[in-house]
Amino acid sequence: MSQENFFHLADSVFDLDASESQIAEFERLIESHPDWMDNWIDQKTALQNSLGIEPIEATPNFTPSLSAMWQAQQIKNSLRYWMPSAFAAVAAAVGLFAILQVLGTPVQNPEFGRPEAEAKLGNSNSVTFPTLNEPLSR
Amino acid sequence: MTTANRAFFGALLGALIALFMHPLSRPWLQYSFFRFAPSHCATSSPHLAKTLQSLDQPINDENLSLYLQVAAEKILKRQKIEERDKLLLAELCRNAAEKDPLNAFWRQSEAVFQNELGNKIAAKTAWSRASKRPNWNDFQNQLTQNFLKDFIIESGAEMSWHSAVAIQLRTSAIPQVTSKLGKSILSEDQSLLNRGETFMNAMLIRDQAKSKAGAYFGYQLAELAATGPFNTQGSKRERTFLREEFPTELHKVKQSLLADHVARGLRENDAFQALVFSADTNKTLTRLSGQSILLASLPGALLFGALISGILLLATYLIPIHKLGDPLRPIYPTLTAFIVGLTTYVLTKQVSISLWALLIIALFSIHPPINLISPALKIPRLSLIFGSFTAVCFVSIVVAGAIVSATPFTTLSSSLPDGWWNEPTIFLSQGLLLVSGAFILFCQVSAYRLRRPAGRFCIVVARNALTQACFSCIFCSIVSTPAAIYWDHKINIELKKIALNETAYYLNQ
Repeated sequence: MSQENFFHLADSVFDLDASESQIAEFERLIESHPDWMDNWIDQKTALQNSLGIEPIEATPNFTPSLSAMWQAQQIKNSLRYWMPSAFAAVAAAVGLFAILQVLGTPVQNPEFGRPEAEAKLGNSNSVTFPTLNEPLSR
Repeated sequence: MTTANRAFFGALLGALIALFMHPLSRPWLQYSFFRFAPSHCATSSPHLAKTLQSLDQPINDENLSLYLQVAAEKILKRQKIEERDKLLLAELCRNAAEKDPLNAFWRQSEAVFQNELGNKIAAKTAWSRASKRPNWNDFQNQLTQNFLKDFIIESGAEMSWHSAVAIQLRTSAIPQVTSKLGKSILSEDQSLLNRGETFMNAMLIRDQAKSKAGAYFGYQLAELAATGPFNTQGSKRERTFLREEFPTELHKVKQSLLADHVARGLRENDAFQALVFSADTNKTLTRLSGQSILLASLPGALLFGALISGILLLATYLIPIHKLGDPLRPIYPTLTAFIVGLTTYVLTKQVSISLWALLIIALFSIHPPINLISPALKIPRLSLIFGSFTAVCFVSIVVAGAIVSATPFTTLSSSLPDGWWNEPTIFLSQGLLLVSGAFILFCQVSAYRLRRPAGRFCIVVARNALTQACFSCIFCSIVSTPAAIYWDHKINIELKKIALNETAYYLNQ
């Protein structure tokens, strides 16, 4: 990797926009080329001076706060964070499939469309008229 | 986001995917969600006389029956039928009667068209022959079965509202014209034998028309045949006496078999009167039809409610809330209030509603004494609860609107009793206006008390309420879909029995 590409990588890492593999690559490059990191800092300082920007003095808690935020963001981006959602989604889908499968059997009426079923329904002799001898509760 | 929240959202997503993927549940989410167009089957099915657009050649019993039903509808509406068509129908009926000699339907229909042609003797002969047949089948059940099969293909699943539509579309034109012919024959020939034959024809219609309306024509004709036609109305006592004497009179002329049939038929007429032609049966059918509409539309309507809530929620996030802190110049809300109030009055002619709309918007011209010392806006618990309550009311109105606009309701609305659903637009608009007005009014008062900008306060409360409404609707839709499938199957069994043999259903209940 060239120094220019390293500068782009450093920008994305400090903008919290880099992936895990890019961060690992960044750390490896700092160890192998410590001068590139110094150059990047010098370049940024020069840019800020030319624009008349006062260098920001970090508060004592700045670094721990930033790293806590960064860690929180990393956790949110991780697969582990979304595991409960994925498990619940699969469980709900499987459960519903099972319920629907059970419901599906009686819904598809096997007698539907068969002429014998129609004949049975159409036979008015099957009508049973109530007689006075039968109990009223019938 | 807590673990429970993440799991809940994941479960909602997984369940929704499962419901849309499974072929059994997918059709239950269409009505009231994205399908609002009229049903093609219910409006132009080729299987039913009330919906068909064109007739095929009468090459089978079902098609010939359709021809006869359409012709009977024309006779009842006093529309002209060509003489050659009447002759053709009479001939076709005679041919069908020869091929299907046990079915009285053909002979009765032949008698109707011979009578229409003016061939009184031929009509009387066919009428007399029909009375000796054991069966009566107008093939509407076969046609209804075909209609239901097409409906299943259209909807993607078997639903109970299909059977409710089939009940509504069943025609009783043939029993009606046959009953009319029977009355005409009775008035011309009041002999005992003719009364007996007419009674037997009426019994066939009453028992085997398989619809309450059709059976009623048979019942009426049988009663008339039993009492004999009267030039004057006759007293109730006299009519009852003649009715009871009819079998005895037949016994006297050595028609014992016919007398026994008549005696049994009269007893059965009493049962029909008590069990089939009572007001309770109408209530049962109305209840089942209403339930079938609700079950077919509810899961989709809830999803529609979630969609509308989601769109509104998105809109509240798109509004630049940071700009709403500046108070509006009073002239803008006042002018808007007058325009909206006037427009509402012109559209609805309702003074109270127009004043309500005017008041709600005009209130924005009052500026609370804003206190911006505390940068974070903490919404009170009461406001959040009221917001949730308003969201429930709002979603209920949206769901109700989706149900009454969906295909099952628009197809079956004529079979329902009168209610707000006859004029849903006015009722639901008033509801929406009332709910949104109450929400804005409450937020205005709360914002004034908290010394916060009213517009910003409204949006923050609305965001919370709409989020709850959106996810609650999705949850309810997921839960209601399997429940709707289960209950609809149970209702469908009842409605299909009514669709295929309404009289038997009420008698055996």
